[in-house]
Amino acid sequence: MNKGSPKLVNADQCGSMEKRSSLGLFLANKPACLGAITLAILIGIVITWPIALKIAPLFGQEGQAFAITYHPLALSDDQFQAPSVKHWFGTDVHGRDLFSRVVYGTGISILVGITGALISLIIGVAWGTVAGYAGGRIDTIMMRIVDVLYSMPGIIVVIVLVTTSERFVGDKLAAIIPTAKTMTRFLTLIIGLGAVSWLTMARIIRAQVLSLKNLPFIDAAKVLGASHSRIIFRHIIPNVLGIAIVYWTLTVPSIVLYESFLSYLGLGIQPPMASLGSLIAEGVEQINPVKVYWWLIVCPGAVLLALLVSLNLVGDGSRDALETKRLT
Amino acid sequence: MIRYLVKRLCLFVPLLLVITLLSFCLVKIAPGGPFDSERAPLTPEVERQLKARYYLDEPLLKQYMRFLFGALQLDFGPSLRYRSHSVYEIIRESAPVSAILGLLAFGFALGLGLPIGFYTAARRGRWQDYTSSLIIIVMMCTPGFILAPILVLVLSLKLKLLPPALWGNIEHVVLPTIALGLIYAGRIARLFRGSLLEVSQNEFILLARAKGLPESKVLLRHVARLAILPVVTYCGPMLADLLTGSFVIENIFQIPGSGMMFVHAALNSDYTLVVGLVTFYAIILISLNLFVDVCYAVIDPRIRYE
Amino acid sequence: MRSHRAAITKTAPNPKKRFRDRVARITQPFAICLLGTLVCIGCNFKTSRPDLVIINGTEPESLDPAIITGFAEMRIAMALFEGLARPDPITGKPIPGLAERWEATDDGRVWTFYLRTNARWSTGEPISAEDVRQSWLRVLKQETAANYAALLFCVKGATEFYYGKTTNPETVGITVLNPTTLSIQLTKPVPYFLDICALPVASVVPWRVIQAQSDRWLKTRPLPTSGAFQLVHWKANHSIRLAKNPYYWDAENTQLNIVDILPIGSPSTALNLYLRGYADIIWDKDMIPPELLEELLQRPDFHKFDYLATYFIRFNVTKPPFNDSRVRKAFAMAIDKERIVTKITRAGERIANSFVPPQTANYIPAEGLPFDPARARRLLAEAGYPEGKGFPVVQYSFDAAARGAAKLNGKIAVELQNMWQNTLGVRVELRQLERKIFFSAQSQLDYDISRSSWVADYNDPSTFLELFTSYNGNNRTGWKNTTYDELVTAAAVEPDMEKRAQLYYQAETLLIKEDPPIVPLFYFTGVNVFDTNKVAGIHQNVLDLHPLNAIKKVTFTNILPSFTHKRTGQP
Repeated sequence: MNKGSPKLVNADQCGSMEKRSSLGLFLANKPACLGAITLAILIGIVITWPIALKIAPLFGQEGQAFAITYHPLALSDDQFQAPSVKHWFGTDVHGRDLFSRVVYGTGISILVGITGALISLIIGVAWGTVAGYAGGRIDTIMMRIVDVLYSMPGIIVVIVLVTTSERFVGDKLAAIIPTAKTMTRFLTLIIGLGAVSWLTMARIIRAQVLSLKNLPFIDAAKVLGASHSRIIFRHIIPNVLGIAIVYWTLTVPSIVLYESFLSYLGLGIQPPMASLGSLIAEGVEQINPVKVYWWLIVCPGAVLLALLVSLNLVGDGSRDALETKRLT
Repeated sequence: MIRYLVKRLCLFVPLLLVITLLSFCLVKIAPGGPFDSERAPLTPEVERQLKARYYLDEPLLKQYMRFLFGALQLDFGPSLRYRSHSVYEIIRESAPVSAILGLLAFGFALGLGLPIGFYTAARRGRWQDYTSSLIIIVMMCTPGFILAPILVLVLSLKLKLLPPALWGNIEHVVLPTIALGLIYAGRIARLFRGSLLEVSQNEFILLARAKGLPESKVLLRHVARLAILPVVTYCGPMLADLLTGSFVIENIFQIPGSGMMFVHAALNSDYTLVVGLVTFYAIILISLNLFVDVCYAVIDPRIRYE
Repeated sequence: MRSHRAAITKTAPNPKKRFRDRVARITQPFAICLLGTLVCIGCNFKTSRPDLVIINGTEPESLDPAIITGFAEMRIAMALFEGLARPDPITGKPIPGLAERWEATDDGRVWTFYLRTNARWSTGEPISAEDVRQSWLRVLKQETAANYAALLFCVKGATEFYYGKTTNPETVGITVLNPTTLSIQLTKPVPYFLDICALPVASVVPWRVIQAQSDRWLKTRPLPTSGAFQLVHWKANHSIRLAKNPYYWDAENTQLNIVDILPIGSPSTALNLYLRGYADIIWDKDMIPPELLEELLQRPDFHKFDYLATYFIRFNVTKPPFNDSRVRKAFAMAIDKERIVTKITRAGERIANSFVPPQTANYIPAEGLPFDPARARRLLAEAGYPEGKGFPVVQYSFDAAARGAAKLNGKIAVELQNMWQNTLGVRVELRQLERKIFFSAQSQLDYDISRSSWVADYNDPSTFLELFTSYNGNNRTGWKNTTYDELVTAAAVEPDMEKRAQLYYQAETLLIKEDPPIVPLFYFTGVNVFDTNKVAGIHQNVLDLHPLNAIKKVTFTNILPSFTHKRTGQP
C-alpha cells in the first residue's frame, strides 16, 4: 500500500467525517472487531487454563485427577486417542492431552511473538528516531546500514545465531542453572527474531519523525530551550508511539510465523516446552496412510491459523483506523 | 541514475565481505565439530589428520583468508560433512532446484492471487466480497508447513494422485508449489484488491463509470494497469521471501534444494557449506534488492535517487 | 511485508502508451524467467527409470570404503567395491569374492589368496594382486584417516607402519607372489580373518585414481569400481545412482541394471514413499516410525530379524558414586528390561542378559545380573546409601533427535529414571544432548550414566569384548581391569576355539556380572521392508548384510523357483 497517499474514505464513512476517535474507527471495521474478539478469546484461554490446572487440586480428589490428566507434561498410556469428550483435542504420542499442550504452546508462541516484536519495536523506534531527528549525514549513514541489512538473509542469520549461541552457553552453565538451556534458546530466539524484523519499523518511524520534526510545536520547544533528549522523549516519541504500536501489531504475526518455521525445523523451541510450530512438527511426523492421526496437525494448525488471522485483522484494522484519523 | 547504480555496485563487495566474515566467525565459535560420531570416535591420529587436511588447526584469520582466496576462484572448499562433494558443486546442484521451485511458486502466487484480488474488488460491497476477503486472509495466514502435510495426506496418501515427496518429474512439483505459493497468493490478492480499490477512487474512473461500463470492465481496462504497480514492486521482496520460505517445504518434501542443504549444514556444523550458502544467498538478495530499486526507478521516473 | 522505499505520491497517471511500455519492460523478464523455468524443468527431469529404488537411510558422508563407519555407507560401498571375500547373501558368512580360493597354513598365520582371472575393474582393466596390496596399504597410512585401520593390525608389520615407526611398505606382511596371487602374513592366528577380508575396509579401491585425485577421487568419471556396480551419479541429498558393472566377474548373475538409492531424512516420508510405490525397499530401521512399528510388523512386507547389536548403558567409573561397583550392580538390578522392550521399543527385541548377542559365532555368552529389586536395594544400602538417602544427584546423558529411532532414547531415559527412583529411591536427572556433543562428552568422560549401543563389525565375540580393554579408545568408561585385559589378550591369540570361547566367557562375566561398568538392556531387532512378491534375494542374516547383486526383481519370467538359477556364492 502507498503510505502517505490521500486515502479517500469509502461511502460508509462519509457521513462521519467529523472527528472520530481511532477506537471508534476501529470498532466500525467489522473484520477488525472479529479479529480482536478472537484474539481476546485465545488470550483468555491461554491465561485461564493454566490457572485452572493449578487450582484444581484444591478441589479434592476429582480436582487432582483433573490436574494430572490435563497437565501438558503428564505422560499416560492413552496414546493417540482421537478427540473425545475426555480429551477435546485428543492425545499425542506420549499420551499427553493435546488441548492442554496446544494451550500452553499458544501461550509460548504469543509470548515469543509479543516480546520479539517488542524488541524489534525498541530497536526500530530508537534507530528511526535518531536517524530522523539527527538528519544529515547521520541519517544517511543509519539508513544506509538499514539498506545493507535488508540484504542479509534474515532467517539464515537467526538459524546460525540460534544454533551457535546455545552451544556457546553449553553444558557448564546448564549444569549450574537447570533451565539455562531452555531459557537461552528462548532468549536467543526472541533476540534473533526481533533483530531481523526491525528494519521496516525503523523506516516508518524515521518517516514519521521527519514530518514531525518540522512542526511548529517542536520549534516552540527549541525556542524555550529544551534539550534534544527532552524534545525526543517528551515530544517526538509520544507522537510516534501510535504508529509504532500499530506496526508492532503487524510484526507480531510475522514473528509468530517465523518462530513456527524454526520450531518446525527443530531449531526453535525445544521439548518439553512446546510452541505451535513444534506441535505441528510432531503432528507432521505422524502423517502416513496406515494410521491417520489427523488431530495432531489440524488442532494446532487451526489454532495457529486463528491466531495469525486475528492478529492480522487487528493489525490492519488499527493501521486503517490510524491512517484514516491522521488524514481526516 | 547511473551514478546511483555504480554506488550501489561498489557497496556490493564490502557488504558481501562483512556478511561472510560474520557467518564464518559465528560458525567457528560453535563447539561440536563436524567429525564426531559414535561408531569410531576419533583416535587422536585421525583427528589430527582431519584437522590438518581441512586447515582447522590454523588461526581463525588465516582460515578466513584462505577461504576468501578460494572464493575468488569459486572454490569454497569441500563440505566438511560430505567430504567428497565440494561446496561449489553442492550449491550448483541444489540452487537450480530451489530456483525452479521458487519461480513456480511465484508464478502460482501471481496466477492465483491476481484473479482473486480482481474478483474481490469487482464484487465490492456484496457478499462475494466478504467471503472472498475472508478466503484471502486465510490464504495469507496458512504457512506452508501446515498446508503441506494436509495436502500430502489428502492428495497423495488418500486419493493417491500425486507423489508424497521427492523431486524429478512434473508430478512432483504440484504439491510443493501449492504449499509454498499459497501464502503469497493471498498477499498478492490482498495487495491487488486494495490497490484496485484505491485507484478506483480517482476521478478519471468516475468518468469511465459514467460512460456506463460495467464495474469489471472498468477495473480491467482502466484501473488494473495502475493498480498493478504495488504488486510489481512487491514481487522483489516476495522472491526474496520465497527463497527462505522454501526451507521448510524442501524439508517436508525432501526436495534437494539449497534450503534443505542449509538446514542440514547448520545442524551438522558444516562450516564450509554454511559459509558458502550464506555467501550465495547474500549475493542473490543483494542483487534482488538492486534489481527492485532499479525497477522502481524505471517504472516511475518521478523517483530520483541521489 | 516490506513497504516501498520511496513514497510515490499519486497524481493523474502518465499517458497510457508510455506506461504500457514500462510495464511491458518489467513483465518481459518475468516472462523470460517463466520460459527458462519450463526449459529447466524439461532438462532436469529427463532421467531413465531405475530397476530398484532403495531407501537407505541418511545421506552417506562418504563412499570411500576405507573411511566409512556407518551402515548406510557400508551397504553402498560394498556394492561398488569388493574385497578378497564377500558376504554370502543368505548367511552373511564370508565366501570367495575377488579371490576364487585361498589357503592357510596350519598355524593360521600365512594366508595365500588366488585371485580370479576374470576379475576386472568397471573400466575393463584386470584387477591384480598389487591393487589389493595397495588398497590395504592405503588404509594403513595415517593420511587416509581410516577409522577402521585397527582391523588390519592383525597383519604383520601393520601396526608399526601405521604409527610411523617405519615408512617402508615392504615391511608390511602383504606380498605379491604373481599378478593373481597374494600372500598375507598375520602376527597371530585370527579366526575371523575372512570376515575382515569381506569388510569394506579391506576392499579393493582404484589406488592410482586416488593418488591422482586425492579427496575428489569419488567424483572422477569414469570411476573404476571393483564390485558389482558402478557409480553413475551421486547428488548430495538427492540420490545415488548405481549401474551394473558389465566387467564384474559375476555380472551375468546380476539382474539389476540401474539402482537408485535415496537418502531420506524422515521416517514418515520414507514410509509414505514406500507405501505409494515410489520406493521398493527400506532397509534401515531408523527410517520406520517407531510408533507404528508394532502395527507395521503385522504386515507381510515388514520383515523382522535379529542382528548382532546391543543397547546398553555405560557408567563413568572414574567418579563417585559409580566408582563403587556395588552401586553399579544395584542400578543394574533395578532395571526391568522386559518393561522397556514391551512398552517402549516394541519391535520384539529380546532383553539382553549378556553383552555379546547370543547368535554370535564361536561363542556362548555369559550370564549377567538379573532383575532383582530387593538385592539391588541391599547392595545400595551396603554401599552406604540405605534407601537412597544421601545419594548424590546424578545425570543420565543421552542424545535424542526430534524424529526417528533416536526418539526412543528419550523415552527409555524417562523409563529408567522412574525405575531407579521407585526401586532405589535415588534421583537421576535427564540430560539430553545434541548428537555430536553427546559423543564428545562421552569420549571425555563428562557424564555419570550414558546410553550406548554397539553393532558388531564382524561375527565374533571379540568385536564386542575388545571394547572394554583399558587401551581401547571405545571404552569410554574409565574402567581398567587387568584381569579382563589379560583374558581378552590371551583369547585373541588362542588357537583352540573351545579354550578361546572359555576365555572370552570369563572376561564377559567380569564385564557384566562381577565388576560391571555397563548394563546391557536389549539386543536390537532389525526391520527390512520389501514386498516378497516384487523383490527377491534379500535374506535376513545376523549381520544385516544384503549384497545388492543378489537382489532380483520378481517379474513373470523369473517367478520360476530359484533352483533353476545358478546359485551365486559357489566357489
